[in-house]
Amino acid sequence: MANYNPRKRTFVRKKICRFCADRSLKIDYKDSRTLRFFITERGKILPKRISGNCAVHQRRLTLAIKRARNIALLPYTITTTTTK
Amino acid sequence: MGVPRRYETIFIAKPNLPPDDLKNLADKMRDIMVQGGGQSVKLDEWGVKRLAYAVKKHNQGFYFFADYAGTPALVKELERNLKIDDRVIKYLTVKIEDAFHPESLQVEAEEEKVKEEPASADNPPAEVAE
Repeated sequence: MANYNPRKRTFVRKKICRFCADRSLKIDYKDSRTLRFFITERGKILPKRISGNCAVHQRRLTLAIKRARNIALLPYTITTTTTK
Repeated sequence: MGVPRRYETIFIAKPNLPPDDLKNLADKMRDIMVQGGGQSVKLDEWGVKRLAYAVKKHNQGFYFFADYAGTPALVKELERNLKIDDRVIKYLTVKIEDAFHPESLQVEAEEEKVKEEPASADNPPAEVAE
């Protein structure tokens, strides 16, 4: 209780795996619209500590995203042209 | 000779091809799959889609999607042809099942029927109401 930090505490939200919660939601590399939820604006795969996916589904999701990238349905990187 | 497995192949053709060329390409690939001993060959066209990144300087591509069952030798032959054909800019083959079960197709067909049936059952009363 000594380390209790109210500011950090407010950000803790219960995360649930979307694919466990909705069994009808299939992970498919062809379905880029669903996969887009799990990449950052730079095109990186969201870690499961952020997305809240369970380990099994995170593994399948990673594979699906990598396949989708291969066939140009998802980008490898999204570069924003900003002056450096 | 190997056991038949179930595969999906997506290949992307150049977006600026004339319709005849696209048809010719689709027929060629379908022939390879059928003559190579492919079972339940299905070839879909997704049409022109934006590519997530430039492939051979193209920002768009004409997507084809094939679902079939065949031996690894068939996949090799198909990919060899996709590689040679310069109308194709990219392709990807994914194995769906290790062993091909014709029954799994029936299950899928039945699932589709179940989806269609409520829709078709709903339609006639709606028409009557009109």
